[in-house]
Amino acid sequence: MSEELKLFCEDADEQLSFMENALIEMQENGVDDESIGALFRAMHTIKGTAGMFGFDSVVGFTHIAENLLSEVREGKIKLKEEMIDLFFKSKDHAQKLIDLAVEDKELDEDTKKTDDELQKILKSMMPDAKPTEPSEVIIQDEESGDEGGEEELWHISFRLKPHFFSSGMDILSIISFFSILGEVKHLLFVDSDIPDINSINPTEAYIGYEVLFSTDAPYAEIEEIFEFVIDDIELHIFKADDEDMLEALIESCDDKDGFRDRLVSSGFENVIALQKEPLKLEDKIEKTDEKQEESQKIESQKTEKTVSVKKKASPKSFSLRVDSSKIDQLINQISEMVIANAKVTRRADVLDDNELDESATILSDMLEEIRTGVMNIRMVQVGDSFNKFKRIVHDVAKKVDKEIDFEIIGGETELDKMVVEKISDPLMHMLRNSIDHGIEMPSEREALGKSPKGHVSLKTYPDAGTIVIEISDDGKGLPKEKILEKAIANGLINENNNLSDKDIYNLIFAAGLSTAESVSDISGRGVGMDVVKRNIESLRGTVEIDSKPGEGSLFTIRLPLTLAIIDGFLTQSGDTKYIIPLEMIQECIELDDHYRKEMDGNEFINLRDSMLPLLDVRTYFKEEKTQSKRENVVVVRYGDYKIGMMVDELFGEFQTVIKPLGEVFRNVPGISGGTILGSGEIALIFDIPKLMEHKIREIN
Amino acid sequence: MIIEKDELTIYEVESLYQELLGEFESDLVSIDMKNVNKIDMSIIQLFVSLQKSCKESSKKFELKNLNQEVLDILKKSACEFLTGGDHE
Amino acid sequence: MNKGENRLNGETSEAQDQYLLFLAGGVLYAVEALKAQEIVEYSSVTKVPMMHPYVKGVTNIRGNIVPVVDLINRFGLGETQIGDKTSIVVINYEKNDQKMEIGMMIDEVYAVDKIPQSNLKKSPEFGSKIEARYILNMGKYNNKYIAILNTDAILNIDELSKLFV
Repeated sequence: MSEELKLFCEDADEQLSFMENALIEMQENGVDDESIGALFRAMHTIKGTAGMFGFDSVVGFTHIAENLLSEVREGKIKLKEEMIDLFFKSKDHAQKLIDLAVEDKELDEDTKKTDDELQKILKSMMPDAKPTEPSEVIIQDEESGDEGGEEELWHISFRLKPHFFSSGMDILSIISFFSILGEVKHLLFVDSDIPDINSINPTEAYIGYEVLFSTDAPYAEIEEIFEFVIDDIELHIFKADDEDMLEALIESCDDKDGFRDRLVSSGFENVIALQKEPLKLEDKIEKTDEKQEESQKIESQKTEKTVSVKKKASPKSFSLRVDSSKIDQLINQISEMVIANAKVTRRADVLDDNELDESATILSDMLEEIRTGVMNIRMVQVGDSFNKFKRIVHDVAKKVDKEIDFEIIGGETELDKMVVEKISDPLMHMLRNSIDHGIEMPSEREALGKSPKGHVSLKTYPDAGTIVIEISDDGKGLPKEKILEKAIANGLINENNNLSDKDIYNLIFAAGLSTAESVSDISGRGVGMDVVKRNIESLRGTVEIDSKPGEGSLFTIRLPLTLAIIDGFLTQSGDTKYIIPLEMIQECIELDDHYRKEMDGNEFINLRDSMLPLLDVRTYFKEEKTQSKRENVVVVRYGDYKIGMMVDELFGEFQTVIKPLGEVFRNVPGISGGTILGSGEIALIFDIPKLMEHKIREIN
Repeated sequence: MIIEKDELTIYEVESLYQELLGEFESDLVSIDMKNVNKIDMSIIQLFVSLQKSCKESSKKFELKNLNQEVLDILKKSACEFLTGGDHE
Repeated sequence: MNKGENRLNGETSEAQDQYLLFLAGGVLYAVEALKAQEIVEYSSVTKVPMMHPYVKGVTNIRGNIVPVVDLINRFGLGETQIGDKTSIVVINYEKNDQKMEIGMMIDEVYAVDKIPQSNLKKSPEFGSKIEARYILNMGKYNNKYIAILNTDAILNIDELSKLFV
């Protein structure tokens, strides 16, 4: 897929989710102007960008939807509840059309049918229900309304860079897009730079356009027309009556008079006006013609002005789309710098060089700031992505005839975008499960004295350096007996087990264990929870479930903030150095004789009146135990659990880039990766959740 | 010369250029577009160059039998002057 | 035609005939030069627990974590004694589209030299100190036959990744 097409897809996805959010907002809190505006803008943007790629099916459909929205926005039609559903359908359909267009596929029968039907309904809702007219006319209608900004005249000048044609973008589509946003008063094809036939390179572009353009759209929106070609053209956008800019533009031409004449004869009224009025300027130009060096000076002044004017004209801050691999690369490089700097620090220590040490410390602080800054680029609020679940919940509930009151809490919590994307599918599956299996039918609920409306919530919050996502419902809870029965039947566990309730519930994450009584098309195909668990684990996360019969279930997912870097604590056990993720460490204690005596062969110590299970790293890895003089215990916490990790030596905090250990070590338990220390040595990173799971199983 | 292709775009521009160079040898540069249904900006640019060059060397230039699709494109791109024979 | 030749089709015969010769446990062995990515000096190798002793651990090769296999130990012929010339030959290992680098620990590099196709013969069924499956071919070099190693078999991921406890 080409870069441009990729950008288009990303943009379309974003716009579709804007639509979705706006629709959900209105569905929940009633119709409001802001949401209608958002809906309109998103539909409009999709139409525009699709137009640039010549995706006619998308343009055709979104155009009609946009027309109707435009009427709604202007208050000519009231947005009724049913229409929200219609726009939901339109949004889905637009998505479908976009997908097909991007894959360069024809519309299939079904899509065509939907297209016709939706278009018919959309059109029938127009106030006068007359056949749709070309977009220009409608936009003008819209502009004649009192809403929106003042109509203004803009001068847009652009020249194609030589490589333009190879960009694959079609300048004609961009020109067409003007008439969507406003009215093109004059359009001048600038051909003065085209060489003669004997010296032209036909694959290079030499042309440009001057446009006099009337619109109520702000500067930023005009500039957006060029979003996909911005690197392939020289672009100037300024108010048509901005004489300085206009002069600067004409001045920049080789054939100033010829250019001016052509603008005048093409009817550019701003240029005509310029000729008549400011005599002073013309004086100046004539003078400069005489004196070459002075003209140089003036030109440079003009350029300065151009810059400042342009700045003024774009007061909005723009968001920038960046390929995430570029950020990854940056993070990797920063991480390598952190490692290199750690080496310097160590060297300064050896040399006992205070000044060097100080510089290294400053550098390390700055690196930390840069790193945090770069990491923040990846962070997004989960709410933006999670809002789409509202729709899914709504749809699923409808399908199974249940009433659901769905709540998203902590949407402002920030998480690595990649993690958010990857967690989306598992969450969706779990939500579906909760509704399908967890929540009872309304009549059942009433009989139980519950509200007929089931409550499902999705809550996100930071906790101890991780992000916790909880999905809870107030349904019937998990069928413990049934899970047990099935697990025994499947040979997962044997009959005389001493599993706690929690352990039993967590069996649903085992492969092939679905307890649904009927296989509905929503969940319960027996694939699912094991996949959910695997997906979460691949993000270095964990998932647990708790449930109370008759009261509901609670899924708790724990995720790392990011996947690339961890702050770790360097320790050694046996011949190997290990890193323990710092955020999980509670404290370090020395295992002195007092504790040893207390242990008396048990694998517990009494830490401030609570039992702390100990995990001896060497025993865990089945390595020979040689009694070292000192042993240390690092107390780690994950979720509700705490254990003490027995290691030989402690070295201190260390920031590390996680690198995979590779296939050869895929079976080693309790290790999540490796990292390269400042000395060039490799340390292994503990997978604390895994180790804990092991310990807990052992205790039970 | 009669263009045989249905579409003229950046992919055809180099071969078209070679043909036009040959055509430019004669005094009447006439291009019959009856078969062409689509052109893009690179083609328009090439025609403009040819039109200009014809004018400079006092040759006659004509782009004839344009069908509606192509005319629309020329209109949209503000290049209708190509149909008017010599460059103004 | 054996497997090695098939894979190398399309390469110049010049490259096909090139071999990296090295000593391991005092014995001369060879691997196809095209298979060897690079040779680095042996430096600190971090032990990974629960692995078979022939998987020595991991080492840092220009910022990448690369597993290291003790070749002699893999053959069951003892353990490589670490000395000044101890090296790691980094082999390009490919399995089911998965590419990875695995280091083989050896005594020292001997030469990169040509063994023409005509000097190759099938590996003997018996009489060799190392398992036949580890040998791709026998090659005549300086009038002596040396084993050209089958790195795919030696570095078989499924075997290397087995836990040893």
